[in-house]
Amino acid sequence: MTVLMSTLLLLGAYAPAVVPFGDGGPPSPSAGPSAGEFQLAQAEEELPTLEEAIFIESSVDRNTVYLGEAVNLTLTYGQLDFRGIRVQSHYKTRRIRLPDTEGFFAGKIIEESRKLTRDGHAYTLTVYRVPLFPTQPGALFIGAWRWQGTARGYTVSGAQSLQIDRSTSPLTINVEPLPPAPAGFGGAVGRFELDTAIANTQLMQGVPITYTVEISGEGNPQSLRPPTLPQALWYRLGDGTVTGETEVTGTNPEFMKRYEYELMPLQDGVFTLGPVAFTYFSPREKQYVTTTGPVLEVTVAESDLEERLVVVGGVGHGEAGALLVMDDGRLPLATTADLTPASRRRGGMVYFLGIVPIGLFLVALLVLWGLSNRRVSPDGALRRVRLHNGAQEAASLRGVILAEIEQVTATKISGLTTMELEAALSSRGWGEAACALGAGLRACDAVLYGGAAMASEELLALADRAAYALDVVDSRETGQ
Amino acid sequence: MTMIFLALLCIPGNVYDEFLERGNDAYVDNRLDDAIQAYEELVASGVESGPVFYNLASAYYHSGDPGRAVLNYERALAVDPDYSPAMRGLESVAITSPRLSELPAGFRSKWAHYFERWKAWATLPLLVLWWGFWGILLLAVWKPTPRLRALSIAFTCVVVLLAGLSWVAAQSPQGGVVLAKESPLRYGPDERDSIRAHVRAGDRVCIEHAAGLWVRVETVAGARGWMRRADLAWVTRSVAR
Repeated sequence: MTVLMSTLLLLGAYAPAVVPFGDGGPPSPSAGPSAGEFQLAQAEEELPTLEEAIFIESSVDRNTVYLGEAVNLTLTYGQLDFRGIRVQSHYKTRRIRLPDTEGFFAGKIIEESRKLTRDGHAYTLTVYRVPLFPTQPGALFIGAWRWQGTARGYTVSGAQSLQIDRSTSPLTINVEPLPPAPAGFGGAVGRFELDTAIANTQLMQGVPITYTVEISGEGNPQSLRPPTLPQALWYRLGDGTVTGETEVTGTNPEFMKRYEYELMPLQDGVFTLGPVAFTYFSPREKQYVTTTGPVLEVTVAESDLEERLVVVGGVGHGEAGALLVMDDGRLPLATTADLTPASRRRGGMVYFLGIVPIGLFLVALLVLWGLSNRRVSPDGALRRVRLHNGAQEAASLRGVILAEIEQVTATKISGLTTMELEAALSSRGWGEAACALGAGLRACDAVLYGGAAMASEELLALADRAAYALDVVDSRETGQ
Repeated sequence: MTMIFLALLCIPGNVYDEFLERGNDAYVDNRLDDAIQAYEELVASGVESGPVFYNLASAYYHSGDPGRAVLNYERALAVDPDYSPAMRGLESVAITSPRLSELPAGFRSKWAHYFERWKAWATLPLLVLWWGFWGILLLAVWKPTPRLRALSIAFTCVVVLLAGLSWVAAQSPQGGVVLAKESPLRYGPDERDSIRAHVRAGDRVCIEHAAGLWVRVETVAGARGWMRRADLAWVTRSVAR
């Protein structure tokens, strides 16, 4: 019933021409209907129009910032809460498309929803907040934010629809460069706090322990570099690894980043660890600020090892030798070393690796040379290879046998039948060899012209017999 | 006969061990000059070991010679770029002089290090490959069979790849360490040329060109100039340079 009432009440109010959007002039920052248009619409009709279905806005919390300081960009999308009006975006995905933010590093987008009454109509707002960190000084621009879609409503005369194209005005941000930086400044801009902790203050010489440094505050977490830790002779520190990172959403997004270092105590005694200093630029104070963590007092117990050997390099450093820690604060002493002179070590390797490839290379060269010139056949080995290769098919085997006979007799065979060839070879004194070759050729003829079938084993046997016969004849003729 | 041969092989190893022990004992007893002498003799006999260079550097460091300390720490890293005691030793030197913590761009190139190491033992196989390449190429021209053609193409690819690697490795700068307490950097290779900057003991520089008694270098700050060769040492694993 309510839907029907709303539909009837909306009759006549959906004509897009009634409340036209824009007049060809520049879009306003609040790219929906202007206040005047709303008033006009209200005066004529209390019900919303399709033009009022959507509005978008973009704003920033400040227009002048320092390099690296966050600018909070707020994008507001308002959709009319009214039964009978449906809105469909032209964008396929629901993910927000940020306006052009060239020159900025965009942080994490925070999305929230709330209700708003605007000009007597209820809207559901989706507010997107994104911190933008300028990466270069000068005037930077945040481009126009655009939304395109269709608003549809139902009337007695049928469905009405309106193409909506909204865009906001571009925004200008003036980015001021940072003053000359002091030593130790790593690029952090904002407000930060630093804290350090150690897993246990009672340490053992040679037993590593985790040393944690935590930085929290407002700013760009991506611009943080691991803080420089103080060096001392009684310990060594491994490289810092990021083990925890959280971001707290809100009007001013905050984050926390945790670095963990492996601390290896090298000497026994009571020592102080720290303080760790962290320098950042504070836009509020307009100057560089150095914050320091607490100084920790630790006690290192002497190792149980007799010579107090401490493995160097931490986990996974297998190549390092062993160190003898000195009591008087001098640098530790390496006690093991590979003392083979480099010339001896290198020479052996060179000759070993040199001679083997030379041998392989010469063998390969000989084989290649022999194969390419076919000069490996005084004993008929190559002939056997050829005949066996030819024995894959009867036609090939027949051709190869004829070629071998031509080679041995040094005559060209053409126009002879198998019977005539066998007779010619017999007259030449080949005897059994002529019979064997004739039998081979006839078997091939039977396959080729008589439709007989022959297994590959039979072809191979024929090839063997032919090769043997040719070897016999060859040796006989060579002997002559 | 075999025993005599084995004994001959074993003797030099014992001598090296004795030198290391002598150096280590002297270091523990804080006789730094003796320790330096023992380690230097080891290095002069051709031992290229990270721990030996490291111990030598530490002895120089405690005897107040930051130039030679930095040089030998760098030599230890040239033998093994991941040798962490040497890195820590360099940090200790830098504590006494923050200027020494700066390193010229491209001073330590791990890639070049491993290429050099590989090149050292692969010289002869590379020569074989080179002559094999020409041999196969000649054979392929003489008897252009498909097998030889494929082999010659494969050889050509390998040789071109190795040539490319050598060219890239040759582009990486050579490192040097200033040994003199203070040395002027001049605009030209002559004592009469005006001074551009000063370098001090332990400063690491990139060596661009050597000409006679002079060397053209680039400092951490990017200043190019000529300095006397005697005031500088090359960061190489061997002391032959």
